[in-house]
Amino acid sequence: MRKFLLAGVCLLMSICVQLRAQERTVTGTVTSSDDGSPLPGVSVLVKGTTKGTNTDSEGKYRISLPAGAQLVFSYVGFMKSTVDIGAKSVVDVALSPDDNNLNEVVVTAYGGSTAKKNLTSAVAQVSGKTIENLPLQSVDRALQGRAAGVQVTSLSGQPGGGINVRVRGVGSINAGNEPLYIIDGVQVASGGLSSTASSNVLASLNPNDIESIQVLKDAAGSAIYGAQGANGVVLISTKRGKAGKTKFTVSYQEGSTQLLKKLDVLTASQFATLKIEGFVNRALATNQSVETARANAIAQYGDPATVQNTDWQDYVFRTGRLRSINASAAGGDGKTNFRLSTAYDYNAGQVIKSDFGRGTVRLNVDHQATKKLKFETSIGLAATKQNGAIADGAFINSPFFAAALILPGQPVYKEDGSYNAPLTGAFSYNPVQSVEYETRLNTTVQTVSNFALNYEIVPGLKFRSFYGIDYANNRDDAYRDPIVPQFASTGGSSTVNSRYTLNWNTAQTLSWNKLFANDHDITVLGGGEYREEVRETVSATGQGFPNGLFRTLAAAARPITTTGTYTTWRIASLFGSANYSFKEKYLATATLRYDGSSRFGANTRYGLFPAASVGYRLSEESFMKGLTWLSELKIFAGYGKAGNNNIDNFASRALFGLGGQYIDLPGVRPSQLGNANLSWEVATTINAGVNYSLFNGRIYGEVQAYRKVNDRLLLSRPLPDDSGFGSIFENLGKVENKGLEIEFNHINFNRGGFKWETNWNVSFQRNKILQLLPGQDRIGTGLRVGEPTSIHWYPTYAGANPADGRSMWLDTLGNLTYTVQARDSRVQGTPLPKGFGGVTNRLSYKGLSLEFFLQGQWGNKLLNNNGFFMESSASAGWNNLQSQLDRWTTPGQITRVPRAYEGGTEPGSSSLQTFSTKQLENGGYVRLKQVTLSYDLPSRLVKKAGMSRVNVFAQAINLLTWTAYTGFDPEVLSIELGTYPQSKQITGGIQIEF
Amino acid sequence: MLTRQLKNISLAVLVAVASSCSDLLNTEPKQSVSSDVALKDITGIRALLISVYDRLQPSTYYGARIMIAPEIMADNVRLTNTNSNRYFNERVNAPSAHMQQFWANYAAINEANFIISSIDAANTTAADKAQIKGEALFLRALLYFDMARVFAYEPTKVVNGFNEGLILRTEPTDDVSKADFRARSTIEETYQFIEKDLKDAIASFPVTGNRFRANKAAANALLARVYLYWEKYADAITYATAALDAPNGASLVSGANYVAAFAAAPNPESFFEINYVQATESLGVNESMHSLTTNLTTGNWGDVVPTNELLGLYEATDIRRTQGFFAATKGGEAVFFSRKFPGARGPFTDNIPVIRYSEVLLIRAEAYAATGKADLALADLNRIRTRAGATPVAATVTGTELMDAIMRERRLELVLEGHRFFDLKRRGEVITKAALSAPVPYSDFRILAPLPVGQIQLNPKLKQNPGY
Repeated sequence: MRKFLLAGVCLLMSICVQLRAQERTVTGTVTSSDDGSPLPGVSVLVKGTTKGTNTDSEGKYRISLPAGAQLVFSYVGFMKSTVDIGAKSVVDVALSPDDNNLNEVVVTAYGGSTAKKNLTSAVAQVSGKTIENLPLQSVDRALQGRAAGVQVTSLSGQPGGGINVRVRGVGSINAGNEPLYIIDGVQVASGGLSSTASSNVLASLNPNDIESIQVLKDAAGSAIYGAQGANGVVLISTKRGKAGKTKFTVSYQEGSTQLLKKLDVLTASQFATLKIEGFVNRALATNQSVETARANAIAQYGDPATVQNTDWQDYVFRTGRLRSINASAAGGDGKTNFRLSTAYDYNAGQVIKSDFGRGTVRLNVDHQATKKLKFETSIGLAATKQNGAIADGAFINSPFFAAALILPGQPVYKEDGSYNAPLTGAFSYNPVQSVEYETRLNTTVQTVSNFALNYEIVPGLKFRSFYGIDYANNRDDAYRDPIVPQFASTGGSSTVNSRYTLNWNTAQTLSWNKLFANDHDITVLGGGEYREEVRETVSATGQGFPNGLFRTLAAAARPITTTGTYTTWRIASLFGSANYSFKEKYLATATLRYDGSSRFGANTRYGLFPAASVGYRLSEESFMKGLTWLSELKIFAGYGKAGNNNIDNFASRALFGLGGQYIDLPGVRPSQLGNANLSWEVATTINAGVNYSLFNGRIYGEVQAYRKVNDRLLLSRPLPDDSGFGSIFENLGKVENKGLEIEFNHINFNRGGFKWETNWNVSFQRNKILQLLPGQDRIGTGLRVGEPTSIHWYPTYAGANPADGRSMWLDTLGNLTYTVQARDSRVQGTPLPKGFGGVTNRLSYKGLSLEFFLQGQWGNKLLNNNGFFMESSASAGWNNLQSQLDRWTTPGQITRVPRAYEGGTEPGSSSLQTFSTKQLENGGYVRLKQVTLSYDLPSRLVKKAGMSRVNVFAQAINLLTWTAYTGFDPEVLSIELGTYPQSKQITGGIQIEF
Repeated sequence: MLTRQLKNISLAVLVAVASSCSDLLNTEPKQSVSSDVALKDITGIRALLISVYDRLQPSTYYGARIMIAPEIMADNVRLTNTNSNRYFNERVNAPSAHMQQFWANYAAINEANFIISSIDAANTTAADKAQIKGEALFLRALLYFDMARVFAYEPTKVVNGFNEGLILRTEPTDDVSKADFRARSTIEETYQFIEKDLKDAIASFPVTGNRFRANKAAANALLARVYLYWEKYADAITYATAALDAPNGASLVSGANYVAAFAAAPNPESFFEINYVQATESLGVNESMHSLTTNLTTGNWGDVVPTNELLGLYEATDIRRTQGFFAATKGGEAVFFSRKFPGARGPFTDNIPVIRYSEVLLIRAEAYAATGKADLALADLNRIRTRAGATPVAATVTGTELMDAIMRERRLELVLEGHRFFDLKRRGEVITKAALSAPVPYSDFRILAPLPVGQIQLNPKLKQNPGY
């Protein structure tokens, strides 16, 4: 036995010796043709074999190979290069960067990746390069205008404020429409955390840490996320270290933020003039003394000839400040690679006392423990601090809402320098004072971190065990000082609201990849996943504080309320996917997911979500090879079902909840009826597209069309109020979204170091309700079959009657009327845009580059609810806009602005302050979103100083906006009402790498 | 070795995830409990009763609306020149500016139905059951009656034969199948239902009770009010007398204590008063009666003030004028503010009297006058006037003149307590407006509130009020 073994070893050795005899060794260095820097980790393969190696940290490789062989050098982001070795023993290779966008690597679900050319589903992509050094408080903002099919709207101009992201339209009416966000595999809890200011869950991420953002738009891509995939999935990958010398990057940026626009309000004198008119008109209409009326108006609003004017906007808005400091180090020896980064961002907002500060640390480490075992970890820590002047909304103590409405005849300060407070009129707070003596602070400490273990069981078969956590601790501090007259009665009050979110997920996956007969490439993935989220809040209020120096709850004389909330949900899943590619010509993918969610009814807790897609790369056909102008042509199509489980965590249960209190006793009351059949919504998507690249990549892009039908929509089926319940959630509705997305990129000029490139993307979307409750074509007034999910439902405004200056509307029959009723309303457009898009132009010459980026949307109507207040013919107790000077004054005058009438309601008329098309405006806009001018210092100068790159840049955000909208800004969802106005930002900075 | 361990671990994890899915997905809320356990114990029923009281408190109901809207929709109060836009349309009786918010009372009615249907089987003493049942019956009657006043004509004052009342529900909705569509009962049936609830409540209550909760005297008083609206004067006299004579109940305070009584808790005159705890139930600067009707605290709206016409009706010596109101300036305008809501229970917080001794005296006076018993009517009326320091109405006054005097006295006594519009409506009279805007004839559709449009569209059996 032993002899036999020995013989075998001898035999093996002899073969080895024999083989060695025919081989020789080749060495060399692989560099980048761009800047000559060595490329570590380049795959070096003997063509036609599996024999190969990787370059080391200095880009050097050493390989033995038979005579006459060819070596294939390949590296992500660079063109593949095949080199005849001949008799050479030293072969240095310079790889040129791959400008072909189709070779770009796209991150896919559960740690996978694929070249863009092999994709058969709809994926929008934004690379980290685009986001770098943008003064963004949250990275999803970077998608605005840059990702086709992804509509991004700021909910607030507040630094760090919330954002609304819709992937391919609004598919749901009552469940959430937010996409699923996944940061390095961690499924993060969506929604803002604060209640004192508009905030954003992605605000904890430093934009400079982002490697790429991919948006999985159709079910073929997102169905593997099952019941969480229907609204699209945003995969965010952070940068990781690469083998090689440790690279340091330091950047500094400083700038200012300004209000986009100020509103043209009436001066105190103009306002008083209109007031006198209104008082007199009312006296005439009600047979009262005109002289008394005039005297009353002057007594209250001042004499137009003498009254002093204050534009409160000048005191509430300011020039804010922006500062961003970033430092990172990345490198590794190939066995252990790391990237460590830290950043501090500060943004003082354009409204007094509003700001946002963030510090982040991120450490990403990869360690190859053995040939088969690899660990990956990402640790992200962030602390944010946000002072919100106030939440968005029509609050009389909101500085940015009240500034245009406070009666302008009142100064901010009294003659002795103290605050003029309280003010007269409905807007009685002096916002400069109340904001100074009020704390609205939101602090968050958050970690989004993960750990993964990869084990290669046999070549091609990998096991991955992933654990991710998103933990946030958030606290709102609200303090109101008794110095402010309106807060005096409570003796000052303080509310602390503390909440935590613990959200974790784990996925165990097995993946297998094999290339058969050189042509059949098969990848199979299977696994299980579990996610759990717990949110808990505790809050307490106390009143009666000695003075503003003591703001802690402990100083409160009277504890007022304590309250808390708790909620949780879980999801457990099994999933699998299979990819097949034949000669990289025929492509097919199928995915399947089985989900169980705690949110749903006992009868409908589990569900299956299948999807499949195919692709055909015509350009790989031999008959197409002759077309030299065509470098790539692929057609692809997919079909699948994904779910939307974004409903309340306990929506399916019959519950008794808390029911207030009386005589200090607690109450309970029935809070909802149960529905054991409540289930997720299902989005069925058909997607088809074409990828193209022409004239050696001079022109490239993609066209996609889709139809997404969201079925079994959760609708609150109204119950008769007399039942004691308003409604019950049932899976009843159906909504269709269809659209066309075009990406078109062209290199206009590329000669002599001068390059000019243009990227367009435009998305056309249509949204329609197909079905509501059985046998009914509407719910309430806002939801109607055949109309979009969101409509404006108002009566038509017909202007001022030229005869008497009274407001007129159209009634149900289209006749003019003075009194408008609920039945006179009709569909007056939708806040959903018909389309949106962006265009980027990038010009570069040597180290100098200029980029300008325009973004916009069209086809939507907005309700200017601020205008409801400010365009009311000065009839109420607050200031109005200059436009009200066009009020009707003389018979025969044609104007939309009715005559001034104190109180606003003429006898026999509806109030001139009635919602109608008077307040509806075209919400379309085009915005010069970003202009960046940057300069790379000449590399020989830089090298001399011991650095590898020095870049100085200047940047402007939201520089210009073209719109017909008359409010602060058209970038609002549907209604502008006390929204923190948007800003423009101008910054300059420097980035150094060494 | 490592390989095998890893395989074992991963297999175990996969198996665990897959096999224990059903357990994994069981979550329980903490602020709520499943409905099948909520009312098993008497403590659950008691807490549900608290919820019904809580439902009376919001500013859309007893917190402010039912106190102010009936006053401003008629001629007792007005808005100051500068104001916060609150009650802006009610002021001029704009179509749909009424009290249709009370349709929401059905949520509380459903809770009362839960209590009434489960109390008999509850694990408590018979006395406790009777008390809880009485309270639930009283509250259900009050909730229905306030809706009836808003959405329907009184049984004796139907216009054009439109005698629709309310949807009457007596069973709790504990399953979606019970949330069916129903038609309105007639107004006569509605009143009979309210009458029965109150009679059952009176039978169920012990003799005395907490005046912050429903009690026997309050049920007698409310039933007297219902009979007055129904023009069943003999019954009104009987039940008003039962309330006025109830032991340890409400009593008429002296003139000297008149204003202070509104700061006392309970007001000695209250048969039933809604209590507000400042810490948890204050309606605050935005919606409280204190803020809307006074300038006593900085930041108050101070929008709602008495009309000059009303002020002119008081005699110079009437303490309800001299002490009940105080002069002030609002945005340059000389006005008078009421002292009925002085913030006695803490910042922006006052109790709300639902039914007072004075009102019940005036109910009885009106019922006597309507049945020709002028002397008894005058006796009740003059108790109110003498107490206030006003000249008593002469014994010679009878008939229409006497009735006018009683109606005028109701204005003087009950201003800002939510009666004026209802008083005119129940008598089929023109809604007078003190020369502030056009009077509303009784035949006008704006007398009744519209039912919520959404409910009409939803429920094919539900008839909208005329004109809407």
